[in-house]
Amino acid sequence: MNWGAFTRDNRAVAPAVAFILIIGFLILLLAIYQAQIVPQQNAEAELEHHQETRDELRSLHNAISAVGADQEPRFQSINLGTAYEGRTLGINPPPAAGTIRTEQHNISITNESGAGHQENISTQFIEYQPGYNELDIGSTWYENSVLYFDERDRGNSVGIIEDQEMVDNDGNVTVVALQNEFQETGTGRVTLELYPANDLNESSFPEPNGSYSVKIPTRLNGTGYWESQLENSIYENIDPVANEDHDLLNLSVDPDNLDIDKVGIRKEARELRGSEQSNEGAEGPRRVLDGEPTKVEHNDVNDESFPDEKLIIPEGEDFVPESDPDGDDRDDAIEYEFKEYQIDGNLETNESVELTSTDGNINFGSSGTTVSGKQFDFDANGDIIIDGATLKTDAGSTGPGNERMTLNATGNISAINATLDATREIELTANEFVDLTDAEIIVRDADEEGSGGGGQADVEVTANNIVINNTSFVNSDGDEIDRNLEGDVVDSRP
Amino acid sequence: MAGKQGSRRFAADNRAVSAVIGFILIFGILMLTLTVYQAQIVPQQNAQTEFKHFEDTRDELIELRNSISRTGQAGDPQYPSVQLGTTYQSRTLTINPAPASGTLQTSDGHNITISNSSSSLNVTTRFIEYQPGYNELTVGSTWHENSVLYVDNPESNNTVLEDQNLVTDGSEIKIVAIENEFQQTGTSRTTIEMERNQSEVNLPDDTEGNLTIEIPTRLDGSEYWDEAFEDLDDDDPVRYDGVNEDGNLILNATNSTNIDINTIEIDS
Repeated sequence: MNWGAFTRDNRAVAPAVAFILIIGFLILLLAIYQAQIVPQQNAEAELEHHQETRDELRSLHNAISAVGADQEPRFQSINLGTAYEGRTLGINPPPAAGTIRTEQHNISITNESGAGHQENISTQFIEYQPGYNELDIGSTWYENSVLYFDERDRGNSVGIIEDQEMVDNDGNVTVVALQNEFQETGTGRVTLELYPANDLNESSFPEPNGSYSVKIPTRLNGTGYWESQLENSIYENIDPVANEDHDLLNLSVDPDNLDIDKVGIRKEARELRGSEQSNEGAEGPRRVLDGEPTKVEHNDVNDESFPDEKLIIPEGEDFVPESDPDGDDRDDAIEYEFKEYQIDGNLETNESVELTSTDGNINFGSSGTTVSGKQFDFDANGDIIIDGATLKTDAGSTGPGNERMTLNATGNISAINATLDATREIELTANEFVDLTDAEIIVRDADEEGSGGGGQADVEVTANNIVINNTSFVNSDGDEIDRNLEGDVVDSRP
Repeated sequence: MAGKQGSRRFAADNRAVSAVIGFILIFGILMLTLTVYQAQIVPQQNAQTEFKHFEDTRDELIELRNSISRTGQAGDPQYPSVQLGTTYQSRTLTINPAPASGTLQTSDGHNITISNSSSSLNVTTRFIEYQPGYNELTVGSTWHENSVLYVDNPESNNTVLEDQNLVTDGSEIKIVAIENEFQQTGTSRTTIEMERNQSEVNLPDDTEGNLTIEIPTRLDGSEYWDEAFEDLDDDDPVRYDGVNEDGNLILNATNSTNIDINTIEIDS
């Protein structure tokens, strides 16, 4: 190269340089537009949608209250997501979709004396979860007539949008229990159809004997919200529920001041039949026993065994098999094989109860569910969850060898705050842990601890970890009984 | 002679007219750009406006459907509104087509028939159609019938926007009949006033067996109703019996307490 000629060359190429500069400048502008302006404009669209959705959720909150009060249906729609404005030069992310879903919990009502039955009523919380691309906004929740933003998982607090209407200034308590599962995800508009139901009456509640103790699930734990909203005469305390993201709000309510309205989403809140409920939610097929005498046996391979279905005994259902006219006791036994179980109602028989889950949990309602029979044999290919429930072998005793309670799970057995009440022996076997925190283990005919000598103990627990924390092991006289704990005994779940 | 001289001068002339040529070229490019803009960009932008309107109208029609259900089932008067059409963004150099108008109208009356072995009752009802008049998009009408809201696509299957709430739990048929005619066309917003008719519909005597309810429908059984009612059991108080050749949805009810029928009046 002739470097001398190059360095002496003083001819300008101004148009080429200018063209390159202008192109570069334009590309720079485009990059800034895409990186800065597009996200801001999209964030603006999301904020606008967020504000509109907040108003629509407020309308939903009001509609739920109105259905409970007026006993007339309402149809409330919500725009789940939003699309961004069209762009010629910039690129948008996909439209922001949102999800609205329900989450089931139980309300329980007992009277002051503890006598009489405990009424359990299921209710649903509603969560709206936005799926914005730019804004980081937490879910909006509806529970017990309160509408709020929950930003706790982002290090912020809870923002109340609509205050509770459950307890008024005169101490009247009106609980609206939402029924039926619902879930929709998308960017379009979805309608929540809200229907009233009048299936609760005075006989649904326990015998009035002093005030009712009403336990209402709440996610507003640790916020001080209920403490600030409720009078001391009604508010008792908030009980934590282990391993759950909700607590139980305890209220003491005069029976005359308690009103519970059921509101069904999409369907009437009446008891649903099996096939109707079978396609709700995304948990697969279910079978509901609605109180009719039904017998399902292991060895019946025709249509009486349901290894792919979930058995639900809904809250409020008392499932009592009737005696078979031929007098064959065995026919009265409950022998079920299902994929999994959700037993929120009560299950009573004079004979033995055998529950086998093929691939899932045997789950009893969080509180108040009672299962009574002569002998229990639960075998779960999953977990057995008895938190707050009562299992009692107190019926139909005909001879030795009966009245045992045998629970076997390939996963865990969780019996927090549960009552396991057997006449003779209790045997709990799990692979991972058995959690007996606050549980009451009663073997009524057991001898006192140490007096049994050799042989099997009254209570046998086998697991890698056994959680014993405030657990009582007693016989019918209240004396401590013999137990054999095979595993690491700890005072909290690992 | 003069011509020979002239042509010699033209051939020998080496003066440039670059300014004139440049102007003509630039003018030509501008005209071409304007033509391409009018032919390509304007229709696309207008289609975008129409699509936005279609989405907004879809939401408003969902509200209209919910209002019909609420008025009929709860008795509360409702006043939903629908933006019938849309105007395009104004343009300086290019030309828009006329604003897209739309029509909201009821269909001819059809009879809902409720009968048992000895008597029958006819109640007139109408479908509601929203027919957009877009210039760019080809979108079918949106129909409301028996609480179902769907887009009747001209070249494909119907798209259901809102499912039926005629039968929700197998124990009751909730019929809302639209009594009177209604038609509005234009580009502006129209409000539909709806009220429940206070006079009760007298159902046939329920002492003589089951009731058969024939409800007019534009939807086939296989297209929608078979699936919508697949959860109904034979022992439910309300049963589904298909869609007959006359285009009537057939339901059976155990007695008249399983039927809740109301008529509503709509007006603008």
